[in-house]
Amino acid sequence: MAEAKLLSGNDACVQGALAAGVRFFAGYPITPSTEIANAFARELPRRGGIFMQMEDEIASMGAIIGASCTGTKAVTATSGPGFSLMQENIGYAAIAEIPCVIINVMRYGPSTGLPTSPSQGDFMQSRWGSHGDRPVIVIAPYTAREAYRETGRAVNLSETYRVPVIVLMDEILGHLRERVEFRDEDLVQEISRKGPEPGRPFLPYENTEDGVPPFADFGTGYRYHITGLIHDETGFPTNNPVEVDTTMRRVNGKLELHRQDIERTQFVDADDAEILIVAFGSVARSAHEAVRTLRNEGKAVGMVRPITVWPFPEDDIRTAAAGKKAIIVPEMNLGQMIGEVERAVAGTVPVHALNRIDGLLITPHEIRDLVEDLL
Amino acid sequence: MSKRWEVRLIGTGGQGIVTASIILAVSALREGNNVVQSQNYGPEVRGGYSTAYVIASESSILYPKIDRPNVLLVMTSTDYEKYLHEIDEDGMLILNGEPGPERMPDNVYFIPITNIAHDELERPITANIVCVGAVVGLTGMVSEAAALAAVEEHVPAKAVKINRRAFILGVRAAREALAQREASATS
Repeated sequence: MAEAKLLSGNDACVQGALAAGVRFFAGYPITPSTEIANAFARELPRRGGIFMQMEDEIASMGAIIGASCTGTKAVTATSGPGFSLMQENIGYAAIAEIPCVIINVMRYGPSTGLPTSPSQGDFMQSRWGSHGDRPVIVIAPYTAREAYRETGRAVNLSETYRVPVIVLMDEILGHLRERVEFRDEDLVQEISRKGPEPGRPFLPYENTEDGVPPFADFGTGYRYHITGLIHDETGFPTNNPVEVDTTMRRVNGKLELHRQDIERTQFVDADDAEILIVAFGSVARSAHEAVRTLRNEGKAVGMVRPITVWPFPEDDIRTAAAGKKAIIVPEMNLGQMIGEVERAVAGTVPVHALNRIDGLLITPHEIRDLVEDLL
Repeated sequence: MSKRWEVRLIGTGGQGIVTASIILAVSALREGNNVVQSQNYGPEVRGGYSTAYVIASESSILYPKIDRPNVLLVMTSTDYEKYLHEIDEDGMLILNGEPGPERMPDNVYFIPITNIAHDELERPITANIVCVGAVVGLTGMVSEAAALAAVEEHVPAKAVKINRRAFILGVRAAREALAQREASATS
């Protein structure tokens, strides 16, 4: 499709977003995500788009929500403390159902932490970081090529389901450059939110069958109300328990209706494996390398890698885990995804943690050692 | 390229070793290899510890880090004993400076990178390109033609000529070091 080039994970995110039609970025630069802001600042004006440097991450989220209301595809990027500051407005985008994409290049926390070191400490925060029940899609690529394709997919999913989508990168993937050769399957489509149907009365928060109401872009002639208060189908606030329940079940349930479209999971030698590794992001590169080496030695080990990490692919994990001797969950945190894996297998297979919290990537060697102990 | 090259460059922030590693990565990529390049640095902009690395291999590169490089170039120290234990057993250690009078282990090379940039080129800023020439000349991990083309692409247009010279002087210093090693081995 194109010639091979050297591309960083952060730059790949930007290229993927642009290919999906993103024309607005607002952000506050922070290591290790700064290259994303740099690249948008360079690329957006050339395409008639807008780059805005904001005073902080709260404002950055506010700005992309506002831009998105006009129908413009909008992205922000951040890390660590900035991601914490964004949580309030991510909750707003979720309940007001404004499409937007947040690229979080995870760094070591809490607080200022280790600004230049990687971590997977935001796995749970990405899902649960705002107050209240709110839907979110979280996607974790593991190569620069995938960062391109999956950021493009993130934009399209946010438009399709009117939901904030988080691209969960980490310092390792953000900062490495690698050979990328795009193939046809990497082609990013441009999908836009569905608008009001002409000739039909417009209800901004209609309880549609697919769970996703039509979106009237600001400036297209529709007059309606958007709020962070719980609202009825008209968009105006309500305390009525029946209406509150209806809205909250639809907003939180819509992703369940479309799981098949949203989920993406990679299986590596999982079918006949005795030991299964479940890993995501950069750690999955080490896990994949360990599987490759161990398979060359004739050892029955495989990997399941959630690419869409939220909604968590419980069925994929449960199916792949059936009959296995053990599961290993390596993570650069003190154990976050492991709880989801344990919940999926519900005690049918022993689950072992492998955690590293010294600011370094888990090595293939460490994973191999644990596999060999368990075989 | 039949082996997996793992090259690490150590220096201080502002010396341009990240650019040097990108040039090596692009050269290897152009010759059809898989490559991963990255860097580590502290929070400082200049003057802090800085290390960059390149992995190049015919097979796909999953694990994106280096544990024990097979080429280690140190810009900031001539203490070879300190760095020898950081490299792979078949690895090569390249230090920026002149060798002392004592006999060196066979896999240690001294290239006066700073002196070449400062005295011969009169442009200390080109030290990182001398460094690229030294690595290419000593290892042959990529062809000189591919590396030179990548150098020309990654330096400002007005500085192409001086950086081309920097690269060539780096390669020449590497050849001299190899020839000296050969001569002392046969004497």
